[in-house]
Amino acid sequence: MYVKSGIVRYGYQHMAFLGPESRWAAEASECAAEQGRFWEYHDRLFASQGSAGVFGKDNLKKFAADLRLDTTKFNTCLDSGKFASLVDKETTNLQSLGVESTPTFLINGQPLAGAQPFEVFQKAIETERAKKK
Amino acid sequence: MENQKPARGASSSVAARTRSKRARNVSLWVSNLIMLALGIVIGFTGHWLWTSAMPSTPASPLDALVKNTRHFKGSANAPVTIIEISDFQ
Repeated sequence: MYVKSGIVRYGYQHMAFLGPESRWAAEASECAAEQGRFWEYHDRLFASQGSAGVFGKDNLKKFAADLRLDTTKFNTCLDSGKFASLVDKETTNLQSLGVESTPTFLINGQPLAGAQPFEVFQKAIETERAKKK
Repeated sequence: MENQKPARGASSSVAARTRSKRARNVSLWVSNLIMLALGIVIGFTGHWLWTSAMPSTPASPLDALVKNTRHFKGSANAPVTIIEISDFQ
């Protein structure tokens, strides 16, 4: 809602530190980004979060098919591990900056840790907005 | 318009003078345009150098983080920037 109305620019960085599935999922999202579909894939992954095993490579490929991505290209990308080093680099950089847990949100640089209720974000966004006026 | 047929020498020198005058005007215009374009280019370069050398907010590792974020949605001119740092799992 804030994004669509032009108030918020929303970005994402990988902190894939919870084991191989977490790294594969991050790599898979980069493979989707290659086809210009990062955010759809991102939303699909968060909608499927939960049990272990859900982000095995087969499931990650299935999500891509569900979203009607070019599956040949996507599967080749995921199997090749071409984005592994990029995901690792982003993760270690965030850890070196002192980010310790996920999710962490930076709102105009102010850290907000944990999946907070919407009202908390709303308040932080309005505070930042007021500063700019 | 004057009659150009008789007195060949005289009228052709007039024509030549007009031509060279016109040529001078054209070259003046061209050089004016070049100066204008140069001014614009220098202006933009200067502005770009200034803004890139002087960030509007004090630099911190967190600001640098915004710069190396590859995935964004929403307007680049939005007053609020949120970076989600997360793991999908």
